[in-house]
Amino acid sequence: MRTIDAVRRSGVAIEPHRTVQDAAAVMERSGVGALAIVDDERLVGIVTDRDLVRRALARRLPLDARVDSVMSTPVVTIAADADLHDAFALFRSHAVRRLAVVREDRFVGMISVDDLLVDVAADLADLARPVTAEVLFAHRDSPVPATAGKG
Amino acid sequence: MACHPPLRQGVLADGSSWVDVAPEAGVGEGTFGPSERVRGVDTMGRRPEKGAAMHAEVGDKIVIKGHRVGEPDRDCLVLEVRGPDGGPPYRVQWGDTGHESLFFPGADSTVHHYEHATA
Repeated sequence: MRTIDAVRRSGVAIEPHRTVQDAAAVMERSGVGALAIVDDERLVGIVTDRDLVRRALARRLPLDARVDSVMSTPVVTIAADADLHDAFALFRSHAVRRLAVVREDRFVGMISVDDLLVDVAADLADLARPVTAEVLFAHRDSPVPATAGKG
Repeated sequence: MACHPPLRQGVLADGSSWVDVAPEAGVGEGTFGPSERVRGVDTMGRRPEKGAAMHAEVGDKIVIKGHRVGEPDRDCLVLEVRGPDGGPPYRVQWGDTGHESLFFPGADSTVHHYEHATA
């Protein structure tokens, strides 16, 4: 499965010259917790709601401060066509909860640990359903064909 | 967190106006009039296959489904199409605050097309 096929949520990005207030407003309106910072669609950083709290609000940064002054960089990225197992490996080796999905260095989306957990939980539920049925209810054997043993 | 009211009519960045041709349909209500062309969902309301390309035009509305129980749908207005053949990314405007961003649609979003009124 390609990573881009597992992206459940839309990605939202703003330019590096925009203000931290703009970033917060866009987050609030779009319902995302992280924005990609793109310069001519090239990914240059990522800013999360937590970044805004720790690096802007807590340090009394003015609301018109540039968002690139509080963004995280470099960004851990994964190619859109990479196998999804590569995303699991990146989450395992990096202390991040989101990966920026890129195609030819251009941002195309964001995938989060939460998204993958939901998918994994759904897959586990599918696997557990028939097993649970066997545990809770009498095992139903297929009837022996009437022709068995004849001839 | 309240979602702003559904867009009914407005003026685009190029000065042209647009109107919602299915005013009986509200965002998140799940029912849309026959005059509205809804891209991104088929007639059964199913999601497109993964990887299916999204196409939008200036003035279209993109609706993003709420991700949690009780979370409202959100919508934004397409101001500019950056990708080839109507593809993403899109420069969009969020609600009545006028804040703009680039938008990269995922499986949670659909494009709603509205007929544009001629000036």
